[in-house]
Amino acid sequence: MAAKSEDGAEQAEIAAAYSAYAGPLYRYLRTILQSAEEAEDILQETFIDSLKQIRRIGIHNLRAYLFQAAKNKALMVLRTSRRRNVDVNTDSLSWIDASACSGEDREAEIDLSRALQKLPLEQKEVLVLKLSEGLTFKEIGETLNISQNTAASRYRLGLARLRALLEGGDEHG
Amino acid sequence: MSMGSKKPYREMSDADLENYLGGLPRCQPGAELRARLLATASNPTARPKPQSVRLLFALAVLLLLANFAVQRQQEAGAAAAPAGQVEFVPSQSVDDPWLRKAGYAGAPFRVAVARKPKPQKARHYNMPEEFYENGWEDY
Repeated sequence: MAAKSEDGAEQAEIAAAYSAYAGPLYRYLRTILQSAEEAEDILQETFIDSLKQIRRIGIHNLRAYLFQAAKNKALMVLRTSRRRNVDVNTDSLSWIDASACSGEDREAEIDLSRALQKLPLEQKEVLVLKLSEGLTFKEIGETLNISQNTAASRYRLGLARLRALLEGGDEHG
Repeated sequence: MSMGSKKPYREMSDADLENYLGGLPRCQPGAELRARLLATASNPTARPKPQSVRLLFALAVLLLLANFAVQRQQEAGAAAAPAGQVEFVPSQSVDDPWLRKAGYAGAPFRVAVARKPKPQKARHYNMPEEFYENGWEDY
């Protein structure tokens, strides 16, 4: 009886955490891994593993914990698997939903995917959290376990580089 | 890329670029992922096992099988050994290159090892041989 109610509580906890963080985590993972399938796999693993830990040790910043856990798993995948060739014309590699885009937005999505491939991970992760999730630098710092100033400088550098890449695309396109 | 209603990137300010990229439709995880996650959470045995656990399990099974094979071979060797003879089974490997060279190519094989000779007393040039055979008492 107690086990059943515990299972129910765990399910409710997972459902609540999923509603709050699954979207941002998924977009973050998809952008740094540049793969929708791997992002979904790691998202699932992250929720299951992390929520077990949270019940055991108690976490005060769930968002930071989940992002850090997801990032660790994503880095393992990036280290162990050889990156396959991804076709940016058909695969969406950013936080943008390509199926919901049409016309020039679709082209912008392709440009963004292509540009993100050339950015380092540190800049990519700050860009996705700022542009897609609209987090403040303080929140980004807490989420990625870096200082607020580091988050801001990485964002500015990343945005400048992204702009240069997109403008390069403008000239070639 | 820069045709239509959207301005070219070079004409956008940083704020415009942020607003444009942030305003595009954002992707969401698949709806079935949530159901799969909840189903997995309610059934712990269905949780995917990490690679390391699978590797450890495979290693444990291999060790058990190897141990079983060694035991079987040792039992067979012990049953065939003649009484009173000191024998060793130096290796379980049939393909041991040293043993193959020495002519022990088949398994199971056994090598009779001679007993270690007793250490001899140092001999003095002018002492009779009986001294060494019988000791001080008889000399």
